[in-house]
Amino acid sequence: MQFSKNWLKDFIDIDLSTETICSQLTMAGLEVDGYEDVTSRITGKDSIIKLDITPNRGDCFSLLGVARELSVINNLKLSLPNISSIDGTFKDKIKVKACPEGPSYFGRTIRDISVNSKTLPLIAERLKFSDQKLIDPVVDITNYILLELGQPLHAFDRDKLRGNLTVRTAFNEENIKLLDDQEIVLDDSCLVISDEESALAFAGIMGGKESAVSASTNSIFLESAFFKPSAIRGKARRYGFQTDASLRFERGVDYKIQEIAIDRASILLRDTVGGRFSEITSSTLKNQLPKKTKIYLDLEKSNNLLGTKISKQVALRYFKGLGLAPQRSKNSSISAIPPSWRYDLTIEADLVEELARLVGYDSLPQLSLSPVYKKSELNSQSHLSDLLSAKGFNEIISYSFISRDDHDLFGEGVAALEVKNPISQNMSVMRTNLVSGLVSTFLHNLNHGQDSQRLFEIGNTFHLKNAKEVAEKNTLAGLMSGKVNEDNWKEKGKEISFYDLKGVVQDLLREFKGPCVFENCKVDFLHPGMSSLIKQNNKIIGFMGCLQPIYIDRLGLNEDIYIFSIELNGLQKNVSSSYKEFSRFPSSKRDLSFIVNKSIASSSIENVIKAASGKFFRDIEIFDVYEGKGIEEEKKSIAISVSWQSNKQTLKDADIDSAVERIVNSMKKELGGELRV
Amino acid sequence: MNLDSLKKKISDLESNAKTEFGSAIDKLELDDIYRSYLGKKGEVNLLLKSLGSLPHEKRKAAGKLLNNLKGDLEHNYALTTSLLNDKANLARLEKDKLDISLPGIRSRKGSIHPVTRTIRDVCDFFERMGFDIEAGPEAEIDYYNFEALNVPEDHPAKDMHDTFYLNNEGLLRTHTSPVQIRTMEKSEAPHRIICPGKVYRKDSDLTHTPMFHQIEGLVVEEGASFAQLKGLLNDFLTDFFGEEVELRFRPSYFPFTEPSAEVDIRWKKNWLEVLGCGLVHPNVLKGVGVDTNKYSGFAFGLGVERMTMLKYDIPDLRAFFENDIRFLDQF
Repeated sequence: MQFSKNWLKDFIDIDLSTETICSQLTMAGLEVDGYEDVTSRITGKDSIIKLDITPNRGDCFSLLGVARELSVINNLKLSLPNISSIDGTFKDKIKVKACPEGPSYFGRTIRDISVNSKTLPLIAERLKFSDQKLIDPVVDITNYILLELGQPLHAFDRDKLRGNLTVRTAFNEENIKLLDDQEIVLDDSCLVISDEESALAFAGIMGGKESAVSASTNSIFLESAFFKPSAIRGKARRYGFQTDASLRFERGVDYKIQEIAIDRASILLRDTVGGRFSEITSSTLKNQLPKKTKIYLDLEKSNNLLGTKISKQVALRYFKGLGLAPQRSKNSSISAIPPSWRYDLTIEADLVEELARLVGYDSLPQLSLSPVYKKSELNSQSHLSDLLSAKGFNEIISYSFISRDDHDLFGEGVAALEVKNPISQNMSVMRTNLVSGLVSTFLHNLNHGQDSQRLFEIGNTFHLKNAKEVAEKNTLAGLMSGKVNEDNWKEKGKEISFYDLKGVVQDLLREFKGPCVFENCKVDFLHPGMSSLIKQNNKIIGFMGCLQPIYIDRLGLNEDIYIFSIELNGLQKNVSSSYKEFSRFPSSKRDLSFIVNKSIASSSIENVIKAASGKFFRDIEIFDVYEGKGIEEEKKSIAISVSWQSNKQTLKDADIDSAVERIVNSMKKELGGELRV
Repeated sequence: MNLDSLKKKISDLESNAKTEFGSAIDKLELDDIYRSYLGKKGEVNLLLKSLGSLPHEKRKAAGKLLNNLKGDLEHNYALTTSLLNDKANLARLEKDKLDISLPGIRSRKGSIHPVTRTIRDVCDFFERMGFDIEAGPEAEIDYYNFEALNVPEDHPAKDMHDTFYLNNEGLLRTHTSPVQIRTMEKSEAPHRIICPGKVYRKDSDLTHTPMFHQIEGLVVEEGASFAQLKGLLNDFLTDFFGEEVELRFRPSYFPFTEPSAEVDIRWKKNWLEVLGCGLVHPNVLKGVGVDTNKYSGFAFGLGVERMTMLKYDIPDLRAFFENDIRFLDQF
């Protein structure tokens, strides 16, 4: 809401700078978005103050509400502008009937209004300062009252009303064409103002087109009603809009101000469009009006919560200023009854806040919280990030929602959780892995000249377990492309290979408990011959590999992209528990080279050798793999270094020789491997 | 041979040997020269052998002279060796000299995302204060995101959170506050928790991204007060920005706290909103079965991107999710 500062002077005799007023309002919980100095043609120097009002303070959506706050803060007398009643000169036959959801309804007819009249300059200017469009004198006055007193009014064209008016719930599928020409279909949760034939207005939200005031209107029927917040809440929003009236009604309008508002509007109408005023007709269901129950505040408890020493006398004074009708109660208690304009005061804690507000949050004392001892937890996620960062990876954070296309490309064919109301179609599917974010980021950076890239992300991925249940998996994924090391003056950088990727994954998994195994896999977007499933403790925890050549082509790339993905939930951090004594005796090492079929995996060779090496076996390392000239086709040469060591003695050559013999025999027997001499 | 001619011979030998030692160009040559004088068949030994022809008493004096000569030459040899070694070493150093101004062979630099850095900094502070780090799901249900937090259906407060709804009848959490509820349901008071995570709101413009990060803190214990909340946040902000910052608390509204406050910090003359906080609303505590006669609580929440922008002077929110390496490399 925005308003002219000078307008406040209709209510309080305030003479403070705009800056001071803004600061007071902000510190009272009515946040000032900003202000702008302007010159009024009528009142001279003025400012437009813009407020950002929180949903609990519906009472401050008016000049009266804002002035009331300022009057309490500055201890000023609050008075209402001229509100004397205009007695009706005739009685209109129209009757009105309230209902439980709209329990108070006031109306009056004004006949023979002047069609050619103009909105008073002061009203026009204030509306303009409040960013309200000028429409016609009657509507301008209803808008003016809405801003002045917070009471939304509505003017019907009297000659278009057929019989009596009722506030009632709409029928299911009842149609109404609203003032702004939109036609909507209502249901029985909506409230309408109806004559004897059809709904005339979406109660508390917007009037209907049929009964609207127009240039040819001669007589109007002015409505000043109270509708329960619960009857208005969310209704306009359901149809995708909001009005100044709905904004106020759903937050709660003062249920005692309707008659005052119609009187005030009548005076302004008389001064602008003239006409003959009927008697006011009304209907109020007293027992349906909001009930304000007594709240008890235990001042001692309140002082403990705030860390204050507010005296009973001071508390009573504050509450009185707020219209809370406070009374001393037993011991340290005070009782209070919230005024008709406050809907946010229902329990003790609400009164604690009022006290805090009036003392001023900044004046409340400050105490340090004492730390308590807590066993430190190992944060493996930070550790993994640091490890990757040390390996030259840049951490990225991408959106959790991706496009349908990206999901189709990289989603592994999994059913996805979808956003029903996405901000755009590019953000409509919840990711099932982190691949598309990594690839998009890679492309962005490639287009900005970054050839070699290493990226990683840690984030949740979303997996539908069934139509309702979602499993979120904390996932770590990375992307590598380009060179292992950049070219430099000394040597040329090597291109990244599958084994560089695998090395990174192995270094990461070393941080967790349990053996890690790699198996061939079939992931749509990975090269079938250059990809692997990652298993830890016999459970699949991820995949890695080179992006399918077709995908590389489709993305218009020339370089290979390597990707890994590891699910972190369930992995247990490897913590070194106790020291193991190392051998003080020398180790013996033999280099062996075998010719085997190309199809034999090096891991099976390692397994055969380990099994045949005897009890002193210590380590095995593949140091060369060769195919090509000098080796038969379909065969490869693989060179392995095996070492042995004892904890108790220096091993004899004979021990090693016999182990080597066993290895050679096993290799021949189990894998058809020949020792290369 | 008499003693005088021997003396003459010794003196000649000494001066010849020293001259030759001095002229040696390297250790190899020096050692040859050494052997020719002091080796088994060297001139000194030859001279020693020739002493046999001298009478006994003279032989003793001559022996002493020769031993002196030997000692003298050995000393000279050692000295020359050391000089030659120094020379050889200098030559080698001169030869191996590099252009140290050529660049080193470096490995690639990685980086931790600034949002992660802020989350770590914040969590570090609160962990030192004895807070546990808690996490919760991002795909939430209405109950935890709104209802249990005292936001009823159709309440205007829901307008403050433009919510993304999911096709499983759930929603993407609009704040990290649901973690409060889940934690209090799961375990008994007292609580000190800090919950970092992603949150989602249907908003996208210069100053809003549809996904961002929040950190939520909750303390529920006996005697938890607004004064402690003020003290804690003051200490935290000082720790985070590395210097005293001027801050102010002003009333605000959150359905799940009462009283509620917004914390602003003075930043380049203006007040900037950085935190929301308050005493936990009794309805929230009662809803999860906390005895409100015994315990009170306070909670706070902050926007990670906002804090990061302030700390590192980043002008554009969208940079966080663009992930340009030229941006990331600076962290």
